[in-house]
Amino acid sequence: MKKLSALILIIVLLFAGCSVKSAEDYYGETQKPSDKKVTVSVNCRTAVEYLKDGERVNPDILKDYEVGFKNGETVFDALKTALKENRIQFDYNGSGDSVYIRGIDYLYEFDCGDTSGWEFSVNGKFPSVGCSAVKLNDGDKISWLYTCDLGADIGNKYKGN
Amino acid sequence: METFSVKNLSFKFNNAASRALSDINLSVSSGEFLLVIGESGSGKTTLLRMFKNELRPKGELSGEILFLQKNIDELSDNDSAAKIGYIAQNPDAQIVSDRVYGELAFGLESLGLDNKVIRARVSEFASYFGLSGDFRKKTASLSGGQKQLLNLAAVMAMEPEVIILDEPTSQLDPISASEFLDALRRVNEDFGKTMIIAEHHLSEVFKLADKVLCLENGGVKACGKPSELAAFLKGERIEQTLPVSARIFNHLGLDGGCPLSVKEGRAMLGEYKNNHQISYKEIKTDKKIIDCRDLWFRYDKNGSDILKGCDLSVYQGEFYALLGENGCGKSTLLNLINGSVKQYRGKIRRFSDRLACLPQNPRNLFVKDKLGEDLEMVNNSYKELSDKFNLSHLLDRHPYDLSGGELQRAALCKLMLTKPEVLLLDEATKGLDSFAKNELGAFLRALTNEGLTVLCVTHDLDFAAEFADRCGLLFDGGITVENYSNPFFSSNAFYITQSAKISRGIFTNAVTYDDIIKCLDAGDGV
Amino acid sequence: MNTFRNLHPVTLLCCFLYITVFSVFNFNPIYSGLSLCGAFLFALVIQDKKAVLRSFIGYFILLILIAVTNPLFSHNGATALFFINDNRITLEAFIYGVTLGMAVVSVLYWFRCFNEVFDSEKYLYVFGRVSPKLALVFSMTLRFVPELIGSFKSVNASQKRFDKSRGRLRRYLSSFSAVIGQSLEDAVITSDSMNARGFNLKKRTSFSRFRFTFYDAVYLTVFTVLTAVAAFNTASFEYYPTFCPPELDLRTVIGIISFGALAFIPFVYEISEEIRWKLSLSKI
Repeated sequence: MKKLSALILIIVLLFAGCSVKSAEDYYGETQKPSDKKVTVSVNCRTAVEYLKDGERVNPDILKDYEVGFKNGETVFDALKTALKENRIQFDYNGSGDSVYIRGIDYLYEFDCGDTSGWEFSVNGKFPSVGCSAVKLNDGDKISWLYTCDLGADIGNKYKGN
Repeated sequence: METFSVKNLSFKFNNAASRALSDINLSVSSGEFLLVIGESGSGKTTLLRMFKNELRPKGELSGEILFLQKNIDELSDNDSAAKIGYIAQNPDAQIVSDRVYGELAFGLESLGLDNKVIRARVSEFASYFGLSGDFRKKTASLSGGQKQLLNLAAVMAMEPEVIILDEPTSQLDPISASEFLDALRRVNEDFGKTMIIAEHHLSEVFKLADKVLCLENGGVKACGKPSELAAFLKGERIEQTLPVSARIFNHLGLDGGCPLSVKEGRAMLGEYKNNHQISYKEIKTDKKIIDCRDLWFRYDKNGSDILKGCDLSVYQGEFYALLGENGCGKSTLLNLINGSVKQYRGKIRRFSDRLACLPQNPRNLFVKDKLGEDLEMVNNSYKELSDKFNLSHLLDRHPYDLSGGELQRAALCKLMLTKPEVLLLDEATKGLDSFAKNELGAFLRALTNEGLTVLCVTHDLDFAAEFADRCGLLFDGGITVENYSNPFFSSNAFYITQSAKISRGIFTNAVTYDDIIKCLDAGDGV
Repeated sequence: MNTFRNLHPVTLLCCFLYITVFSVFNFNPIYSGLSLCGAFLFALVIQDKKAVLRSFIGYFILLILIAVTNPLFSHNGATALFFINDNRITLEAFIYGVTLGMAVVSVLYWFRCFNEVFDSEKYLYVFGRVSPKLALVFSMTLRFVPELIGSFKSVNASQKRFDKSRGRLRRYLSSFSAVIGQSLEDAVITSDSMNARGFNLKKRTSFSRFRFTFYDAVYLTVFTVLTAVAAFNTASFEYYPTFCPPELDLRTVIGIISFGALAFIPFVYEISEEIRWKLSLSKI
């Protein structure tokens, strides 16, 4: 009995900081208006080429979508807002400034081989830190690109450590 | 043809001052049953180990040992393992495998035989020794007697020329011991295997032997036919260990063939019949110290009852011997009294809470590297008691290095340091030779005279007859017979001592050798 | 009565290996379900029924736990049930969790059955094939460990009387060292007994009472063929983004039937032997 109540306590604590919403409520939320904006696009051209049997036809998961942001928000926040408003699925690991995007629109890392996964560029440059560590600036163009070759096929050749 | 021929054999252990064996000449012919006797330390084990290359201790050896007319050193490893079988005292520690058939196969596996041959041999010898029913069982589930039979069967499966046995029955209860000796006799008769056996309890084995070798201080004291040797040993200390018939024969100073069996003994004693009454001490029954009423006990919920309404009263200051066959619940009753298990019905009243229990394996009482430290652990002022138990010269020794008798004395001493009022003993005489047994009995008697109560579980009828005030027989979960030792043993039919068997109907209440001698001496006066 | 456990160790080992490996590597609710049912029914007939049913509650909780935990970590899947922060909890991930739970629980049940059926003797046989010395060490360990525990208990019980002043831990420690000392003493006798019976000789063999019979050959063939057929006709099952069960074409059906047969053979074997025994009794 002691063990059981301890277990329940742990579970309650784990979920204490979480907000649980139904799918309708979650997608029904609208962003507050803001005058600063960035553009988010999500593209999986390389996966379309890799998955030859036509599993994926459209390389553009999200095309130049504009989202507003507040001071201090990061690339991760922008992606979240953009995907939420378009009801696109995504999946991530981690928290704080070390968030890692595992999959967008059911396309996951490793789905196209051992060296595949999601990377992002801000105004054409690929930062070497996680998406939740990069602060947004007004007018940034953020591209989320799927790579099948550690970035080499999307113009971010891996240079080793 | 000679199986072994030993010429001028001497042996000295490395770092030893004197020789362990000196100038031994011996010949063992094929099919012969040779019994080796001698007191502890006379070199019995050392001699037996000389015959087995694998077990020969390190030291200086002179003289020669011929096995089947070839020097034993030239024997191939294969032949030495297969042709010469060896069985030691401890039935448990000799077993290697976890399954009975695995144990039977062990030697054959060593010889590299293939599965088919092993299967045939193993099944033959399992059925010969009555182990077929236990074939697939775990070796741990066998009784001590069955274990020793298994050891014998495992050696026999290798089809040896000769079997060497070092006190094989010393750890067995008397019934298992005589079963084991009977198996040896059958092997000897059915297969003509040569047997070399060292023993210190001679009442059963003596009459089986073709030849007896008596060792003393590493040399041959005498060697000859059993009846001749028994007569020759008259007046020696070792005479005490001989069968009762032979001892009476020597006491009477008769001529002719010395009787070795009960039958011959009775025939000899018949002429001396008289009406002398052996008297025995009656105990005070005014103060009970343990009172068990209607005890029921089982180990498992679904198991069968071990005790079924058992009653037992033990009075203060008495020496009570609890007898019964293997697995009849003697030790269980002891554990109940000790409080380590609990009955599911019935009541135990203990009029003293100062109980001490001497376990079957007295080694269990010792945890230190020196005996002195172990005693000190209980009580700092142990000197007086250790002197009393004659342990003063052993205090610096490791408890495991003590001989059986010394260890038993040390165990007794350690328990007495806790100042118990009741002493419970579980098979206290197991593995002791006659001398150590008598010494232990005398100590216990002295302690009861000082007011200690002794409750002893034992298989050893002679020990009970000699030292106990009262005896009880546990059978079918209850005490079925209970009486003073003398009437107990003289009225039972089967559960009696050798002496009682011999003197039955000739003398009244004579259940030990001393009783018979008393009767004889009383008869002389008439 | 001839029961499943009386088959040759090799046959038994193959059977269990085939089933567990297959149900782990072909991750699929149909296979996991079949495997779980087969294992559960088999456990029910070879073990104490009450104990198996009681254990089922525990295993069921484990299954639910896995099924519930998986969606908390995997947010893949098109059917969002609800969101926790920004993480979607999906039906697909839950079903994946259920399948995973069934696979884990079925493997646990198979291990349970395996432990019941594959006793120390059979391990000994398998080790003996690898190395006779290894088999011997195994057998000695099996004998030694319970003995060690037993003598520890009795030494500890004997020591209780002396340690009113000492702590329990110290008693345990000193009893333990005493037991080690005793067993070293005994080991000397054991090694003598081994040497006396030629332990040092070079070419050792390993005896076992098992014989590979015609029936063992038949069953081993059946197990192998069923596994091979099932392996060549695996039904693929997609979970994400939406699950789509395999089309029930001939190949898939053959694959499922083969694996189903494999998973149920132990149970059916046991039941049919029991029926055969009862029939043979009624004839007498």
